Parts: sequence; C-alpha cells; structure tokens
Amino acid sequence: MNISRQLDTLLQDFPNCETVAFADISTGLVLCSSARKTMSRGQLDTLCAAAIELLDGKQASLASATLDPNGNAKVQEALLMEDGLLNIFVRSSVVSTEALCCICVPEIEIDSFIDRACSELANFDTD
Amino acid sequence: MNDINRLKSKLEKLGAEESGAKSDGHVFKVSNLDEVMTVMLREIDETLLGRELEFRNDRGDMIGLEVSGRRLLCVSKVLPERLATSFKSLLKVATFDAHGPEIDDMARLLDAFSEEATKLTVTSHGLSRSMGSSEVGCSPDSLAQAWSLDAVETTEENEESAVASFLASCRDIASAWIQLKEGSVTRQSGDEALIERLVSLASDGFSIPDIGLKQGGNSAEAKRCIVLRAPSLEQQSVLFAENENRAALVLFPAENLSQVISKWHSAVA
Repeated sequence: MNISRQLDTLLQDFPNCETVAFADISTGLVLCSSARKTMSRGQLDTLCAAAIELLDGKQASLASATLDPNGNAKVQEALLMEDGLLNIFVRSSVVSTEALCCICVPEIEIDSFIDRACSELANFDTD
Repeated sequence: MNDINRLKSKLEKLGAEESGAKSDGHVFKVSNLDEVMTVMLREIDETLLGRELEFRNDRGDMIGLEVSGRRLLCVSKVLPERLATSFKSLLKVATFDAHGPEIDDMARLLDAFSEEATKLTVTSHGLSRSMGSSEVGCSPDSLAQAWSLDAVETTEENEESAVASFLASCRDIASAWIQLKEGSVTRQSGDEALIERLVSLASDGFSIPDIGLKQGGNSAEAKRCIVLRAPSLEQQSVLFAENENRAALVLFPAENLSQVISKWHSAVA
C-alpha cells in the first residue's frame, strides 16, 4: 500500500482525526497528506512548522532534559490543544526526521491513535 | 429517597470505586502551624467525593480526616497512640460542627502535629463507610475563619481559573505539578525531586511556542496546553498549560496521557 493510501485509511479508521500529513521535519516539507476538508499548502506548511518547533525546537530540548536528565533522547510525541482542536505530532522511531502531523478533535482515542501513527510511520520505511 | 440523598449515594459509590490509596502521596514542605493548616484546608477544599485523607509528618505522626463535598466530617484516626490519647475527645466526634468546641481541639492537635514538622505527605482513599444524610461537616472557609487563617485559596476562587481547576482534577494522575502566576510558583504538589525539575524548567522559560496554528493570533485569554513525551526510564510526560496570567507545569506517567488531556478539555470547556 502506498503512503497516500495508508494516510487515507488512517483517517477512515479514526473519525475524530481531521487531517494527517506525512512530513520531513529536517526540510520542513509535507510529503503527503489526507484531510476531510481541503487544506491549503500554506496551512500544511504551518502544521509542519509546528511539528518542527515542538519536536526539535527549544521547548523540545528543555522538555527532553527534564524528562531524562541523564540522557539525550529526542521528543517522540507532542500534543498541542487549543481552540477545541488537538494537534498530534508523532516522530518516526525509524527515521527521526520523519513525522506525522495530525489535526484531531480532543475526543479521539489518543493512545490507540498514537500507537497506530507510530506503526504507520514504521511501515513507511519498511514497505 | 429525595434527590440529594440519591446524588449523595451515587457520589459515595463513585468514591468507593475510585482506585485505592495512593502509594506515594503528595508531599508538601511545611515550616509552621499555619502552613500545615493551609495544606489541610486546600486538600479538604479539593475533595468532592467521600474520601479519607491521611496527613503524615516527617516524624511519622498521622492524622486521618473523613472528608466529603469539600467539607471536613470528622477526625478518623490519630497516630501515635500518645497523641490519640491526648485528643481522644476529637476522635469521638461523629461530625464536625462549624461552631462546636472540636474546632479549637483540632487546632491544638494540629499545633502538636506541626511541631518540628518540615514535610507533610497527603494520601487518600475511598471511605469504607456510608455517610449519613445529616452529616454536613465543616467547610474550609469556616475552619480558616475559626483558626484566623488568611490567604487560603479556595476552590471557589480557583474556579475562575481553568488552570487551577485542571490541577485540582489531576491530583490522582499526576506525579508532580507546579502552578505559576505571572511567572512565580504559587502552588506545588508531588514528589520533591520532580517539583525541582519543574521549577527549573519554568525558570528556563519553558512555554508554548508561538507556532501560528491559531487563527487570529495568540490572545492572553487563550486556554491552551502542550504535552511532550520523550523516551526515558521514568516514562513520564510533561505538560504546560496556560490561561490568562496563570500556568501549570505537570509531570505525569505517560500511560495517563488520555486522562490528562480529557481533564484539560473538561477544565476549559
């Protein structure tokens, strides 16, 4: 299955997920996306920029140092909740520069959604 | 059964179904009687369902309080035996009365309990008995007034702040938290080492970055939070929430993520 179809399936399986974008956070490029409502390129770019800030930015470094004072682990997952929306950013455990950027409603089953996002990301690199 | 009794019965059942005693509890630094009283009143004020709250000082003394509907019902136990014997009249009081003599006895008990105490650990578990419909108990405000305490921040005041009500609802699922007002720590709870990490994180300027997802910019009234998770032995996640001039930093077990998000969602609804 190609990545585009995998994103569509993810969206179908989680009705509380509105948008999912696969991005390269080292270059800031959204490589592929699936959404219930059309998203402009600018909106997708903003979503990707948020992923970069939350997964690799200054706040991510501060959080990593707090969560693991003796290690240097990178932030794997970040959530931003604002204005009745929940943005979920999940970094690939295989390729650390790849991430899924998702816009959801807060009622989503967060744990199972994140588990699924992680396994989809891993699949992208093994398929 | 009237509506109040039906609701009370339901709340009791909910309380009984809650998880058992917290294994570690929340730890507070205290240095005098007023601080012990303040912690106690806040804990009472944050307890809606029927619970038994246990307060232990660092000398091993313990006071158990039965609390429901944000009111102190009675003193259920006191340790050690020496202290229990001195205040046995308190242990026989079925339900506290805001104007009864037990209020002064309680203050004397707390005075003895606070002596040389530097740390207070609070744990709670569901009440093992059913409450009678006539048990009204004593509010934290009445106790504060009787004990001439001021600056007790009650939940009624906190309800104006989404951050404060969120923290109150997180007491059983967070490992540690600090509340900030205009950048200064105003309240804290949980494991001391974790609190130190949160204070350090706050002083390093940890906040929600301006990432432009919100349409129309970021206003001071915005109620928003971020959660970040990185792999570590402790399996903790960190949350930063803000609304107006208040903010909170919370460390919680990663497995509690969905509960924490749900609590924030409810607090800002």
